[in-house]
Amino acid sequence: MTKRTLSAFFAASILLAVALALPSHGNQAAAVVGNSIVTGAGAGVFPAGASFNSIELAGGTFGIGAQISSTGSADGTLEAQFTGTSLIGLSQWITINGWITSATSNPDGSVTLNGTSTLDMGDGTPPTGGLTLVVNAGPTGVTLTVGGTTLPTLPKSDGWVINE
Amino acid sequence: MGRMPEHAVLKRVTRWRMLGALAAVVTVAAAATLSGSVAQGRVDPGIEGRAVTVLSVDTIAIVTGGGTVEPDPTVVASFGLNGKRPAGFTPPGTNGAALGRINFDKHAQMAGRHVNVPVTFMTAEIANPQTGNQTGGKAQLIGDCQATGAECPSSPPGIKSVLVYVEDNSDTGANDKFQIQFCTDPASASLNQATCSLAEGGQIRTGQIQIRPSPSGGTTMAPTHVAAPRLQP
Repeated sequence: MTKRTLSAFFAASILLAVALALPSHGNQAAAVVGNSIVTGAGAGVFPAGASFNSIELAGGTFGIGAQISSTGSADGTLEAQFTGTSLIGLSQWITINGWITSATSNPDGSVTLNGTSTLDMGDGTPPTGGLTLVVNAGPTGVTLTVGGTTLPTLPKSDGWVINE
Repeated sequence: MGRMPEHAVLKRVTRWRMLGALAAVVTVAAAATLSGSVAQGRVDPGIEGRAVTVLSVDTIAIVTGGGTVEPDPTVVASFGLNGKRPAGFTPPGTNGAALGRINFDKHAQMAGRHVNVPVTFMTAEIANPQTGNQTGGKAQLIGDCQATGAECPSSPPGIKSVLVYVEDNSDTGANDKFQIQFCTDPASASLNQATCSLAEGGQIRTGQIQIRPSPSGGTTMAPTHVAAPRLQP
């Protein structure tokens, strides 16, 4: 009886060892397939009166590359630079650099990207990292919310935002 | 000195043999479960110590990027890009098929400043090992200028494809690279680079490139900002 039990356990252990040793090639290909991709590069001009942190905004550029999975998780990058003028009349470049970690596609064709970001006000102070980032990007423009503060929408006058 | 009966000795020997065999099987199973580097006691060699790898049509990778670059010293351009393998992609022996898009927009009033093409082929290399937040890798994305709706420069005439080369050298985007070339060869995995223009771009100005073997599942690490050069009016 003991011999039979030991033999059965021995056989099961061999099967377990073989199963663990075999590579799982099948999952490798399936894991990279996301549901949609968002790509964008372009520029725009802010309407008169747009401002952020006392900087009067003039225009901006952006670059986006993100891949969204069926679960809503995402991988990607957003970079945006807004130009403006400080209260004392100096030119200032505000740069937002973000990592996209989740996203949703919206019925109007735009996409909402979420992640974390770093904000460089371009005034010589060190960039601030770890800020929450929400991006709404679509054919008409790009709106960023950085650290809970929503920046004026940059209307897209050049380039593309493509969600496919 | 007492003696054990003979059949009892045999029974004991058999039992010990069975237990020994069992121990051997458990050892093999444990070794198979451990990664190669743990089992061999390797340590992270850092970027300098990475094993030599090559761009391959078979490498599974996802490539994302967004930022700015200077195609020449007087022009700033924004780029956005994506590259991934299609469903059912099963290496080895693939032709490098890929999905994605390349957007490239020079911010200057000049001819041929727009590129908007679907990615149709890709070669990639994942650094071994990757560091930080899955950092390290290179990729070539090939975009099709002949696809419906594609936008490519019309000069020089005969441009049929776009070749973008990117490098992911850090989590922060520092030292990441973006280069773009325009080719008269149609888009294919074996694109003849002799038909391509000189590369524009290089080290990116802002933003970053990410090259990963698989989706990260939404890591929440934030990059350290790469400051753009301060431009004066």
